[in-house]
Amino acid sequence: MIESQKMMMNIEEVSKGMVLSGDVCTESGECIFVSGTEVTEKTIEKAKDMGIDCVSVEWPEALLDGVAIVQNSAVEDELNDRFSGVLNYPLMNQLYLTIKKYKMNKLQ
Amino acid sequence: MKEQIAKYILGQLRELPVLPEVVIKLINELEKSSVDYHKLQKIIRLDPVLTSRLLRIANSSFFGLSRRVNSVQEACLVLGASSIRHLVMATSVIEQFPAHEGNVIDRKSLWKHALGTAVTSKHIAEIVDVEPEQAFTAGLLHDFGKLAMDAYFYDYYSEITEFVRDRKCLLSEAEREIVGTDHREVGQALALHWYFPTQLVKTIGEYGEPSRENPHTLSDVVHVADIICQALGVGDSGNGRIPVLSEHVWQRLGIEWEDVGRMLPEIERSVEEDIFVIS
Repeated sequence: MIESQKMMMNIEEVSKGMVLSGDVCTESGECIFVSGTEVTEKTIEKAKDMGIDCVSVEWPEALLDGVAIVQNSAVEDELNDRFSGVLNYPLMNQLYLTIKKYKMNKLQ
Repeated sequence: MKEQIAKYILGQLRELPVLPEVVIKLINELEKSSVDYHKLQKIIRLDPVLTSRLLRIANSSFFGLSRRVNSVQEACLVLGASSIRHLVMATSVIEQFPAHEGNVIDRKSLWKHALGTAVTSKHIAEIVDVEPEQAFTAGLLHDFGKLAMDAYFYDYYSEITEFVRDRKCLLSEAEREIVGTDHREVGQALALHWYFPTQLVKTIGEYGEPSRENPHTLSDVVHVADIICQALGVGDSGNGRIPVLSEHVWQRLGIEWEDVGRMLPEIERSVEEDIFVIS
């Protein structure tokens, strides 16, 4: 399980389901969304209309788990491709398992 | 036909200028277990190109110094023993291989692979009781025959790399198929021509297929290190597939898989830190 993570994000990259981890204010200082608001399509649209470029968001654990699954699968595909044709050799199979274990641990 | 090409390539190597004396001195000095840095600084000062490169790196933003580094001695202090070793070795050798428009090898990726193999060789050497710095040098230079072929015989190399891509084979298999020799034979011939230390010459020629009957531990170490780095995806060796670990080499070295698992993060970390120094 990966812990939730806060980051500044371009408004174009923000997607629904994320949670604002800081108040979103206009240049004049007017607060349009408060920290903790869950992002919806309307939130993104309004932020763009108000000329907001970046917001601080938190990736909920559920979303991060999804990212982790995709990353795990990408690592596995890359390794399978790299070891293609040599996995029937016992030493190469063991090397594959050792590297896979390391790469997977690194992702967590 | 390919026998004639091989004969031509190996013959041409003997016509290449010999390695500058300063580089031979450096390689011999850097292979020692405890480097005499005063002696090393003296040798570096004799080479203006190396001296200026050393100062440029020491003064780069990477080290974030507020003052200017003006001397070899100070640069050695800033860069540290290990970086100096890598820089000197890489610079001295790579400068011997002129770049052309027709080059097909991605030199940066090849150096990254060489650096990874060097770091891995050093780790393995510490386990199997081989001089670690000698193993580092052998790892760093194990593929220098590829640079030589790409620098001097690049007309053949585009056909060779195409063959590798189509067949997903080893570079050495494609080289032998097309020009009748391979980078290991070329590297070994050039290493001999350049008076490299005997152990290094032997390793450059043998690491791909270490002998079962006449074991040579340094070749065994580099054989395993090279394959671990290719499997880990450190740089690019130019192969279309990973070579297979030799059973007899693995048994001779007696390394445990736990040892390999422990060295993997260290290999990636060291390569990321040091590639700046040699690239």
